[in-house]
Amino acid sequence: MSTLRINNPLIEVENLRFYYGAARAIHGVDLQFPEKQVTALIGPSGCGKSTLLRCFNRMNDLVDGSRVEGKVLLAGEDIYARSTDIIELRRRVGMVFQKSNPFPKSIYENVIYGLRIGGEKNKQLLDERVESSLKGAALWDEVKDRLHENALGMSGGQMQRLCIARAIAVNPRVILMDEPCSALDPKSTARVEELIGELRKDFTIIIVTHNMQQAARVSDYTAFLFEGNLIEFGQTKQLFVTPHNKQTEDYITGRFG
Amino acid sequence: MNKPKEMNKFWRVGEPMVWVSGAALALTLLSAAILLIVIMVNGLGVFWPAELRQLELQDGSRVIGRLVRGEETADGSARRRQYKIANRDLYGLDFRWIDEARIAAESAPQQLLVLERVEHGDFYGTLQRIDAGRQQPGPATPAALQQALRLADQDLRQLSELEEKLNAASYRMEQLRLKLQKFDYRKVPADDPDRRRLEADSADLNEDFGVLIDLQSRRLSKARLSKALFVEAGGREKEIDLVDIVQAYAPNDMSTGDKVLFYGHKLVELLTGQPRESNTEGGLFPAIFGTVILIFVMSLFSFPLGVIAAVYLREYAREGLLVRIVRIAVNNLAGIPSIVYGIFGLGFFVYGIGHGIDSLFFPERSPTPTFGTGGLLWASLTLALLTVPVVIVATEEALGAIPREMREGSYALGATKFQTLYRVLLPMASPGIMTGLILAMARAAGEVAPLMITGVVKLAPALPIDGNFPFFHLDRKFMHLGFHIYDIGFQSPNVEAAKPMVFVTTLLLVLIVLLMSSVAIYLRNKMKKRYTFGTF
Repeated sequence: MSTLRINNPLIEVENLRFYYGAARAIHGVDLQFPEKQVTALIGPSGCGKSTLLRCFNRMNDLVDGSRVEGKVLLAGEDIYARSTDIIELRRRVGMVFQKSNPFPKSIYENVIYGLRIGGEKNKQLLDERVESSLKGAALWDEVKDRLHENALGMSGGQMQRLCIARAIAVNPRVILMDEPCSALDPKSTARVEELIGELRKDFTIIIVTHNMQQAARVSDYTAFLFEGNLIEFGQTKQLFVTPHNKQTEDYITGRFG
Repeated sequence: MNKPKEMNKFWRVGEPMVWVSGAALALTLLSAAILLIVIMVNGLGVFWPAELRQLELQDGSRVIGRLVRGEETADGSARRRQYKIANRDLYGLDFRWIDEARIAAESAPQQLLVLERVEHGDFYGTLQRIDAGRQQPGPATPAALQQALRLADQDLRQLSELEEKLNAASYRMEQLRLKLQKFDYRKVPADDPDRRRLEADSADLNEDFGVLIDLQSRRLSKARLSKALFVEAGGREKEIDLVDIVQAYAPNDMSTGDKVLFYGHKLVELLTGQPRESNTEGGLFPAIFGTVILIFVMSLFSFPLGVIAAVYLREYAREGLLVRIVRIAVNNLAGIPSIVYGIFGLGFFVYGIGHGIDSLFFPERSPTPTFGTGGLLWASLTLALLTVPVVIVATEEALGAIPREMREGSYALGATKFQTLYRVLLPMASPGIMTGLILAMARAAGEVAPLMITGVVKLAPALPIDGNFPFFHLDRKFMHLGFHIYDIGFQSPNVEAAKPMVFVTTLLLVLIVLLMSSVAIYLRNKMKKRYTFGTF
């Protein structure tokens, strides 16, 4: 039911179906994500938007008994193909979670975690990457003097931005964000939203959010999902102002959901 | 109408629950405190140089003794007191009950002496004469006695140096003998050059050894020339070689400062000295050493084994019936009586693996066992087996308590399962794992039953670690504080005399467990600070 076709999409989803055991959570979604744009996935709780998001870096593989049918193409390659290297995939598709999850290590070590496990040992390169990532996540000025202190001593908003810095440190093409602001206060939320606006210059961002205003504020495209189906996909301005679908209209005007 | 409502509220708010839970806690703490107090009161007083009393009895006889306790006689009509009268070699008994009614006079003369002897326990009495061998018999003053004892001590030190040399020589001789035995076993001909050299070495050593023995016996008989004459309460004289006196002191002549010094000195002796008199006197060093090293080696086995097993159960194994059964089995393992572990250790480790090692590597020594008998290694392994369930359960809980986001965060950055495990999960679980290790160590320190059949002995000839290659002798038998308590408390020929030592040993064991767990708890808290969320 997608109404829009994107030229040169970075991620293409073709007839994606997802099962938790016998239960089907996503019933055949077709969707294309434009490069270096922010796409928001909205919908009521349980509509499958987080599940869909987690299909893009195969995070759902960790769930016992889950199964995927259909195709997800990242730059033309099927990420569910047998030959896909999951480790490599996750380096190209970073993720930021609902609850900030810094590791119990120093700020420095948190940022370079992805590089360390990739075997990077060049100290100079690591230092540079820490600085550029923290700057990219608008955190550098706040933490540059305490890079080697434990990350668990930061505030909630700082932790979430650290998680973003950690994600961009490995230089991914896509960043998935799963309700990144739902545990933050309004001020921290504003900073993260501002940051998303900056990041879209370099990265393709897919963000799941419950907050309609947030979707309207930060995204270029919006997809509305309901009960495992894609109801409508379009440019954010268009979708919020003149939705084609009755359900979409009901949802964004707050009549249900 | 008002009352029931109030009662209702009383129950609803749960006031009784507060009281019940508080009382339960108080009861637990109280019983633990009572236990500790009993041990401390009985254990700490042992080395205090208490006053010696001289009693004149109604029948004209005289007794010198140290008051142990007083009590009413069975019919309640009179009181009697128990005195330690020492001089086991003269009286046959060290303790005596005396009815208060029979005591005519009581005093505490300053010249009364306590002699700690190498044999026969303490001697209570007075100094009569010093006979310092080479010199003319001198004046019988306490100062002269101390001077003579110092000289005797020098003799003793020389003798113990000799003894060390002798021990080293006999160790070398034993090694040579074992090598020769190997040649015999392999039927190496008598004219083989290697064998000839060994035999020559052995003969040389034998000769050296003979010289040393000779020197030792000459030195000893010379040292034995120094004697002193003492008189016990009843007037009987007893001549004692000065080298047989560990120390002499006059408790009635000591100031409080002297007594504190003496007490400290005895504590040091307790911690560093060798046991005497079938363990009822002297130090506990070998037992302390054995206990600590046993727990250490045990941890070395049980810690990695438990952690790795738990990691498999929690991270790699697919949840299912089998895993659930394994988990239940592990939990039940912790409930098996420890003596069963001991028997398993004896059968499997000692007779099974130990015997296997012997017949593979030391066939020439048969039937003398090397590893095929109880030893530190087998006892440690048995204890490790006993404590591994504790570590597994604690590690599993700790891993399970880590929020899912942590794993996902690591995977999302391209980490493998293994990288996630050792970079994120294990550090985060480490405080919980440490808790498991603390519990395991405490349990292991308190176990005696399984040790008794897997390698603990009353008196070990050598420590499991020493200067002889390969330094760690895990095949050796060892001493242990827990077994020590059992041994001197229940197996000693002179239970009354051994009683103080039982309390001291118990106190020491409790202290060691406390010390080791304190260190572990300190480490755990440090890890907790590092690896858990402090803010929010």
